[in-house]
Amino acid sequence: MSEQTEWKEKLKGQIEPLLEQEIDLFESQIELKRQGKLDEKVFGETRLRRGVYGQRYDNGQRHDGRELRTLHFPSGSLTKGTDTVWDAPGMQRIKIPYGGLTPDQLVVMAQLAEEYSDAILHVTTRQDIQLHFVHLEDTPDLMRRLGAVGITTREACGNSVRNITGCPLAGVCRTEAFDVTPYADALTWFLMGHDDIQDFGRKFKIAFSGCAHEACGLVKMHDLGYVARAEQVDGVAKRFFDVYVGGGLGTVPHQAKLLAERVPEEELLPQAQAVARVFARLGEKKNRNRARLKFLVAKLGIEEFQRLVTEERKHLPYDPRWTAYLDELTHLDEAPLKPPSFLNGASFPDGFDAWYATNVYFQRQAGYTTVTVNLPLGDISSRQAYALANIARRYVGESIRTTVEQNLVLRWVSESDLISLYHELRSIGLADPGAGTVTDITSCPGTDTCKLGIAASRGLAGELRQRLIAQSGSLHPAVEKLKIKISGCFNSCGQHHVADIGFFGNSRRKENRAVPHFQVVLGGQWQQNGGSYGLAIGAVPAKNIPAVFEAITARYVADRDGEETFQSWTGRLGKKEIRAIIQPFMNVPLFAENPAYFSDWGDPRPYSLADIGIGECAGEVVSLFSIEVARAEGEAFDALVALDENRFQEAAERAYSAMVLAARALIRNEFIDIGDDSNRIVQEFKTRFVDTQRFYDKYAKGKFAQYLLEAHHAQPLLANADVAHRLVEEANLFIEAAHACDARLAAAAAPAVPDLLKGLKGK
Amino acid sequence: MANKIRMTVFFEEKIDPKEAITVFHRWLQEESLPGLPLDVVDYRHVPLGPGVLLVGHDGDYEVHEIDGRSALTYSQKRQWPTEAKSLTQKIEWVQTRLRFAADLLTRSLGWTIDEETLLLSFPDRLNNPNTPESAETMSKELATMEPLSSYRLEWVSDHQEHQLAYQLVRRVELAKA
Repeated sequence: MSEQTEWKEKLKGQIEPLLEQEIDLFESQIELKRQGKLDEKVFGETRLRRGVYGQRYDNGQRHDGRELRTLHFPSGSLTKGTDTVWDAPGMQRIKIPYGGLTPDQLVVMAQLAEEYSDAILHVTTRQDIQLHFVHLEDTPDLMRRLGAVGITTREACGNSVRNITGCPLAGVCRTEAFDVTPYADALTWFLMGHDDIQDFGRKFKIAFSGCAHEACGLVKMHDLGYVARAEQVDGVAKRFFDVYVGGGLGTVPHQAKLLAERVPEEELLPQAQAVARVFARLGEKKNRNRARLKFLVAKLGIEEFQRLVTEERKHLPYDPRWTAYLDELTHLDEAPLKPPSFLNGASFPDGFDAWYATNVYFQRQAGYTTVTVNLPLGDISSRQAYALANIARRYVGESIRTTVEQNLVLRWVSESDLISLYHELRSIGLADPGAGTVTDITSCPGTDTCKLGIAASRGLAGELRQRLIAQSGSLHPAVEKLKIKISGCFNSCGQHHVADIGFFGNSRRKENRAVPHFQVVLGGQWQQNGGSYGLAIGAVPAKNIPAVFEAITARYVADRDGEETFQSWTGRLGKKEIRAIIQPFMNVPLFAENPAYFSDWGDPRPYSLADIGIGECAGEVVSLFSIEVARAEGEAFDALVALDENRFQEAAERAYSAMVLAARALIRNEFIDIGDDSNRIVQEFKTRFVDTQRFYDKYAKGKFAQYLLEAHHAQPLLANADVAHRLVEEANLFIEAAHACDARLAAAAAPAVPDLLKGLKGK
Repeated sequence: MANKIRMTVFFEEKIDPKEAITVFHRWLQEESLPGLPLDVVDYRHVPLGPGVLLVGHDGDYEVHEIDGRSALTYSQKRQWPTEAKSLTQKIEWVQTRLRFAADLLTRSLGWTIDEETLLLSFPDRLNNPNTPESAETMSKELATMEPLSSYRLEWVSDHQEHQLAYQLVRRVELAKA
């Protein structure tokens, strides 16, 4: 470890002392874990709280397309957490509060990416930056080098307050009430490491928006969210926040509820502390699948939650930090590097018009613009980052921000510099137009690097992006405006719920082989801070998604009424009609007819060999489960339609019924005479699949089974809109889990084989 | 620990890195490479990036584009063998790994290696900062090394933020001989 000591020596005095101590401690903990003197789970959580995250194949197993292979890391059986091999590469998440970055910080991250990672910086949907393929033992030095430029990875993962996000236009926006930057900054540092956030059962996400009507910080999908509000009180300008709690995406999305209106700026920090205390005290701790704040708010009801927070606030011991920062609110104000100016009829180079139309935002400060640097799939290479940092230094000084759409923005660009800036960005491949349009697709890492990924979200995003760029110029303006967001699984890291057209990965079986699919989610709202969520329409084979996109958008263009938005159109058309559009694309051809369906986008390996079994005849093998579960899917869809038409009671009943049918489908594989009595079905399901943990997902554990058990326990239920919405979501997830369970059971019995890469043999 | 060394060779023809995806997967299946290769990552959408990457525990392979030319890079990042103690031995090790992969690619896809130019870089900024002093010291050391003796060294960038890197161009008189 001599080199680690050297970085430690080299950077001595350049890191904030407390942060330096924490990194030293983490390095010691790594050593203790290596020596077997630290508990596995304790070290796992410690590591996560430093942003050191697991990555796909870190259990030391990888399917190479032919067989599951053990990766023989030199560390042998040494682990860095449950089922996580010591030497396996991992992901380092770097917190970038409200996305604010300086060129020097960007350069250091680029250097770290070159030295410890794969020379790629990945901007996440929560304004973090992630490095992949990082070795655990490199992380203390990596953190020291970040610390030397004022960046910490503390609480970037784990059960803690994650990166606090904020509108990337804060301070320059034409419609904001005021600049939320100093408040997001103050809350970041106030909560980081605070005693009251150390005992959460789950992660906690916070966002700030400058105005209610734009997307900004997507406040409605956060655990705790703030919308700025300025008012005159007795002739004096005063600043307030409307505060929202209990939002979140994940498997079952919740819209945040209003905790309090017009909260004065002086109350921002103590109120957040009170919320944190209530969450730590009453939030679920044992069942992590019910541990987010959204479940606590739903369980208690917003009125009771409000009362608890108000009570808690009264008893908080005074902390001078609550208001100290208000005396220095302007310390983060950005000074433009150059005087304001205007283009004034300059002639534009090739490609400039398209870029100017989509990537340039006119700031409220006349003569200045904010330029979006459109990053494909959120990725920027180290070499690009060095060059971009230099460009930023020359054009804007310090003002770079990351965005939740996985881009970067340069703020305070003097307008007459736009042409030369465009040339410079183009020379390093960073002048792609289309920021915020249909080509600017958001995607989580998916199966590329995430251990929870089910399908290749990045592969699909890349494919769609390429096809849409090829059509640029011929796309209908209404299609150009659409937002596409893709998640590799139901966990929603790609924020598919708030897209016009969202997708999340799942799988189905055909001829006893796994086929990658994406669930199509339509009609989410990006504006109004992620104001409403889309609903799943049906699962389509991954290879058919581009065709589905074309079919849906063609129908939208043909049907739309005047300037009707996509969201309004989907609402007007209804789920039944939309389902009919995608129906022709839902079938999977036989393997012999088109094997490409059995691998994912960008990955030539068979999608999965774990559940391959060869049928006894050449015809299509349809299992009993497949037939039975189709009934459940039909019922779930009817529930969706009922929900769509505001028949909430019916929607809830059908959703429950769909879960019972899916459970029955599994039981019928083993107990053909189960019958139709729901009490008996649930009891058998519990005995056969829950108590035995056969229904358990490796990561979600028994979460999905609980959906049925709780719904059954609640019978007969009276459903309002919220309950119906939740049950419909849960029914779809339960059916997905039933598919996964069936696949696991089939895998346990099946041998393996085919080789989709065979064509290359001999080359 | 980050004492990475990277070496790059160029292809004579302009190649499509996409072809490397299937080949890399095949290498993983057939355990064609030494060391512990892990997975294939497609970064073709990132200009000036690693292209198609075969990431490993000890070293990474990239099929990518540098200044408009198609290239193959090998980076040894950890697990240096005990016999590779000196810088010369380390460079020889990297060159051997790179040559091995280049030969495999040549056989698989018919691509041809351009023997005239190499890139050699040292991303480890702690031990090899990209300063004039450091660059001069390294240049002198490299010039004495047998595996590089037929090449002329050119320092790629004097920008201190960049990694210390050299372009190695085969000397004309030696090439002719």
